[in-house]
Amino acid sequence: MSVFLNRLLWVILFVVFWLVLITGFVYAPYVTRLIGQDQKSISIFVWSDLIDPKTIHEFEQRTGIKVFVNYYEGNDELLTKLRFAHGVGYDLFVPSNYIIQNLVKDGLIKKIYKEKLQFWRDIDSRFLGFAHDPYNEYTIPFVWDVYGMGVNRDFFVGKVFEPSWRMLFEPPFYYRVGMTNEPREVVSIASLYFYKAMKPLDQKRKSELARILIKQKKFVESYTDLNTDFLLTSGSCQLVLAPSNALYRARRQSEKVDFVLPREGTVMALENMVIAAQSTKDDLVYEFINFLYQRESVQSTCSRYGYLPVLKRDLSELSLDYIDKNKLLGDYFKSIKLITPLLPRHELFEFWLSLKAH
Amino acid sequence: MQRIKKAFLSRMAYFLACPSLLWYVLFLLLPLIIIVSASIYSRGHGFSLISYRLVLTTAHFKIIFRSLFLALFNATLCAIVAYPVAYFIAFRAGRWKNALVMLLTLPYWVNFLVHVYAWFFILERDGLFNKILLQVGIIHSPLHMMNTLFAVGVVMFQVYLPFMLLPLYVNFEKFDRRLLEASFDLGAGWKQTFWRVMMPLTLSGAKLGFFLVLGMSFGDYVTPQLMSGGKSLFVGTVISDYFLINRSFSIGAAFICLSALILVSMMGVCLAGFKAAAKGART
Amino acid sequence: MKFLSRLSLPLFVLFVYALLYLPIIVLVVFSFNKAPGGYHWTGFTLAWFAELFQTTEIWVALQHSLIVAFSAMALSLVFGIMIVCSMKDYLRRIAEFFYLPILIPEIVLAVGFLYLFSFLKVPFGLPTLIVAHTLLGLSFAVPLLHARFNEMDPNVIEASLDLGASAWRTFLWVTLPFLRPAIFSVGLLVWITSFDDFLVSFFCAGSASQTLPLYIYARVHVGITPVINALSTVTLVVSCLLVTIYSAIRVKLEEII
Repeated sequence: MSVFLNRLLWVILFVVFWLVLITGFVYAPYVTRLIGQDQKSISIFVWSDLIDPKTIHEFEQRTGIKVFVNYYEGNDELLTKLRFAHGVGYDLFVPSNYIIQNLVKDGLIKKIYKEKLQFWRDIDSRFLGFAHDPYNEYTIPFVWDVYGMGVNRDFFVGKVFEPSWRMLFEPPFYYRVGMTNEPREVVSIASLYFYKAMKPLDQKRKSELARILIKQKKFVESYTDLNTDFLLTSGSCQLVLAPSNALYRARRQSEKVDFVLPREGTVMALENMVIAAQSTKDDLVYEFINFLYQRESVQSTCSRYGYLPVLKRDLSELSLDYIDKNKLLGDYFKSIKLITPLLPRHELFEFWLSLKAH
Repeated sequence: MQRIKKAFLSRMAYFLACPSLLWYVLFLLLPLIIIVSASIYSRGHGFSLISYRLVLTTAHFKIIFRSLFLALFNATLCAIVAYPVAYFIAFRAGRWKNALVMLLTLPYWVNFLVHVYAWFFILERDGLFNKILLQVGIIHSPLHMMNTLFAVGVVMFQVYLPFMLLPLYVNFEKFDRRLLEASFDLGAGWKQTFWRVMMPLTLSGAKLGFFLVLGMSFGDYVTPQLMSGGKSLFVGTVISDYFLINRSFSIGAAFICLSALILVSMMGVCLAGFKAAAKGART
Repeated sequence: MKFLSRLSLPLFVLFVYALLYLPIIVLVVFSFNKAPGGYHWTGFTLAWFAELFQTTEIWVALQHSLIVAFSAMALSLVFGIMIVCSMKDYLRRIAEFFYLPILIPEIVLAVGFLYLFSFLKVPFGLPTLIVAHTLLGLSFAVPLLHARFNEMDPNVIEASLDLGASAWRTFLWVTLPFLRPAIFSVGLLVWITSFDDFLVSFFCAGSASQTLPLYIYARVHVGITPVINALSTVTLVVSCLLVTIYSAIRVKLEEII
């Protein structure tokens, strides 16, 4: 009996020894973070196609601040990863407007100091004061993109074509269409077209939309966020629902695609800079933000990835070959609405899941 | 002091075995327990089986069985293709044996993701396959291959074939070639030799490879996400969506448990099948 | 007729290998293509390679991937050898169960890790990645090393001990060389699994620990540029070189020994 106890004691000792080693190894970043507190670096969490690597490189060289870049491909992914990490690890991220409320509610972002932003007065007032952040306490608008229909021009020569969402939402079609994989976008646009309003949907309208989308599914080639431009340029689809930056990419590959802004109006997504609540490197972050809004940086973002700027200076210098800028920024702008979640999150997810499962 | 040292050395085996076992307990058992308990406990309802009730719908079962069917098909196809190839490398390749085995692993140095994305180039409407088929004249208009179940299947097959080949090859290596020769000498044809001699002796390698491919194809996330056009759902993508996008941990965990249950049952059936085949070969 | 049937097997094998290499060949060929993202050959260029070498992000991601892969390989080999040599008899029946982590769909493991680390407030970063990949590595290491260890004649160890060598020397000069082929193949397998791993890294990497597969995934989402193709070509060339060097060294070593 005592031999057994003796052995057990030794085993417990061994287990504790190894546990301490493993725990020490795994929690090591806490220690290194404490030690390296004055390390000049920031960690950003951004869309994969938002900031030109050259811009970051230039910033690093000019200021000596190291920038660690991490990517996400969807706002939900951003929120989930932040929640799991308890908000620790990142200093700056760029969410879309429709996720801001969630971030504020979870206490993941902190208020901004507009005095520290050199460009604040230059932001076009159209992009300030939206419902998700009425006084811009948390968000700094960075870039935006507008949704429309990408069209294979050659295919529709000699055929009837209306600049209307009807071409996308009212089958039967003699062509294949591509859709995005983000339910908030699809539901917002569908609601705008069918109900001419961006109000939360009741059960009746929800099942109506479900039926419409199921009817449309037969003609859909793909629900994708990643290669909408490629669907168009490869000839798989003749019409796609796409954000303007996807069409920008498509246009660089092939001249025969057009971007059509439907007459019923459309939606836009606004990407905002926010600062993490747990960030301890505010000064460095503000330095980075100011750098990103300089003319060269904005231009490289817009010319490389096709986003649209928010500063008055950049808007006036904007020249796009695939959208009529005057139309976009003129009267038509009034009919562009922000993407809004029109259904509670769980319902939206179930809605999208049942569409895919059909 | 000496006594402690002696005591330690005599218990050294436990000391050495600790880290590996701890790793499994901490990083395999614990997460699985967390998932199972998350499926039973949800924030609003406390301990209840409500998540399971929400998960037991026809839609979910369709998803699971679609993935299962695809995985089974893939594993079987890999097994059928892998046998002749493994046999060839082990017995007929001579000088080229090591080179061929190396060539099997080389593609994996190039990233798995990039592999999948390369298939865009091949399967697209004006991609490689269609171009060749049109040139040769076998078809008159491009085949619609991308964004279909076919694309998912093809890519899965190509990506997981080496996982079937390598265990099978290792098994063949240990195989005594003379047994085959003896079988032929005794007058047995190819069919008999295969079922009575080759198959039973390579069963362990075949089993490992089969279950490896089955498990990996069932829960694959990347391939269906990139290749299926988002029109149909698979277990891997649904699980990822539940956790990443919807953050409904309880339902996601319940779905994981359900799919795991079905997968394990299917594996059990396959295992029984293997055992029966081995027994049948012996008679 | 017999010649044809003799030829059919090699042809079949050739066909299978061609299928395995088809995507890679396409990747390599298109890394020299002039057009970005097109599927038509428009001309030869080395511009993408130039861009590849200028993109510092790729090299940072590669650095992280290499650190994690080598650490995971080292840890799984060391822990694997430790448990196999010490628990030989106990492992005989349960060695197959160690395969469990790779039989479970990786997404389940990834989600499990996410939960576990988040619950224990473990900071996500390189250590969490190494830990996760070591688990995957151990699931290869333990069964394969055990299988090899089992093939060893137990009398050899006894003989060595009888001849006066200490346990440690016996281990170093008798056991370890015998295990060498298994160590090599396990090491290779674990290294490749860790280097290639996407799902677990997707969920468990933190800030400042982006690995190569994560970087590639982000790029694939943006727009398919041939920089990724160029990266694959370079990786392929490097791995071919490594394999050739290793074969050459092995021949030399065998000549010496």
